[in-house]
Amino acid sequence: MKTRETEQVRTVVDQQLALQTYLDALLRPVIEAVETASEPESAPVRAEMAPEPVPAPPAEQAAPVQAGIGEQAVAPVVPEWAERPFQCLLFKVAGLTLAVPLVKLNGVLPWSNDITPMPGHAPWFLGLLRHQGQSVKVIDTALLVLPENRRCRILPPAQERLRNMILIDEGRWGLACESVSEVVTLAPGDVRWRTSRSARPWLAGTVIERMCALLDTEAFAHMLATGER
Amino acid sequence: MKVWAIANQKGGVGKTTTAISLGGLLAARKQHTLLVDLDPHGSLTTYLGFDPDQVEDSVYVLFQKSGGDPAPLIRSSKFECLDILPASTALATLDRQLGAKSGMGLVIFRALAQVAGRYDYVLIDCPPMLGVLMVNALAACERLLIPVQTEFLALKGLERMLHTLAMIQRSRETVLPYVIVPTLFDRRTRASLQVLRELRERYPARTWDAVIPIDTQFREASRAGAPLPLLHPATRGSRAYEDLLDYLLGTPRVLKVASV
Repeated sequence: MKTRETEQVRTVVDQQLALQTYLDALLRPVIEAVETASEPESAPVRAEMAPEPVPAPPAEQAAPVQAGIGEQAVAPVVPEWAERPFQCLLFKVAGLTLAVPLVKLNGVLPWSNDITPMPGHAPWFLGLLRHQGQSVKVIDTALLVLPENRRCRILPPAQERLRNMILIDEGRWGLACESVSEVVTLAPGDVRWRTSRSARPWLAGTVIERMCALLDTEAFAHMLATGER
Repeated sequence: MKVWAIANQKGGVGKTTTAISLGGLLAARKQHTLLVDLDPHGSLTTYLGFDPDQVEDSVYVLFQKSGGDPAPLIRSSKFECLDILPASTALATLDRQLGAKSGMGLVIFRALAQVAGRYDYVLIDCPPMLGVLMVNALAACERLLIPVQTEFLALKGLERMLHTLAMIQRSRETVLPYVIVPTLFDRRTRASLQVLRELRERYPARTWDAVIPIDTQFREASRAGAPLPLLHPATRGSRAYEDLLDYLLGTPRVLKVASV
């Protein structure tokens, strides 16, 4: 009798697991470009100012969400700055719209040919730019946020493609982009906040109405500094 | 552009009626609205005068191409500001064709991103079963409307729907707000009253505080191929959907909660 009950429980668990696996597969490239992390670069970053990225686990090995089947989803992770309406600057990389909250934005610079390349770095690290007495580490944002299978869209070389740099983390990092579009005001409810940051911690959420990804700049800077994606 | 999906894993609960009625009302308010029919039955498509067995350019094409621009597939309806991305019967084959192919749950999300500037609202009518089409709808929307027929079997269907929703939220690591819309309410029946009470007790914060009543005029409107609120704005059903829309938009008019 006990064996039969155990078997029934196992069958139910198997069914639910099958269903979750099915859903995970369908939704794996979550918003593809928007929510999918890129594969780690093979070329290491040697300089101290741009540490070597730690290879991210493949999607299949991403930490599973631990909530039990049938439970309501866990509470979303909403940053403190988003607890009331907030403004964001929208910018584009490889056709993808990203949003950076103004409270975390340290400036926008036009593209400059004065960026000093640092040989031996990962392709996404474009070099250093002196700005107001500070060295800004300039990165090719698209190469970090787009999955590998979408990078074919990044056709022209950086110098021809990139037009602006978004400064974050007290101006330490410059996120190179193709264009800066507009400032929008968002209410906390406009964003589909993520409930877990186990993967792509830099992605705070998505703004469906604007079809864009909202950056968590601190997590992004942390990722750049530590390589933890 | 706001994207709302209308879904329930139980059939016959008023999904298509809700989609066409809200779509018609939004269009009447000069909101450019796109209806997306993801149900292989194509009821919404038929409603607006297209034949899901004959239509060549349907939402099916998007799945065949794993995305692409939906603009060439969109048809204008005879109502101003109201367009439709039609279904075709071939949609019924998608689950068999695609299985759990990675990323196919995001086809509609990506497609809608390409027409984001053209529409104020997108309403997605879902099939009554869990599969690649429903997953697409839930992944693409920012808000879910769950019509629930006020009868006992519907409660079980609602539980199943919420279970599916929880799993999709877990996969997507996001929270999708939802509103339960009591439909087909017949105040003369004890079942309607009991189920409504139970909905409000079990899901007090999620259940819309009014109801969509049974109204034979809905049938007449579908025969005429027009949203009931546009055809007969004064009927009970029309007024109920107008109240629902006001509620969803956060701009309630004089509150007209059904006296139940």
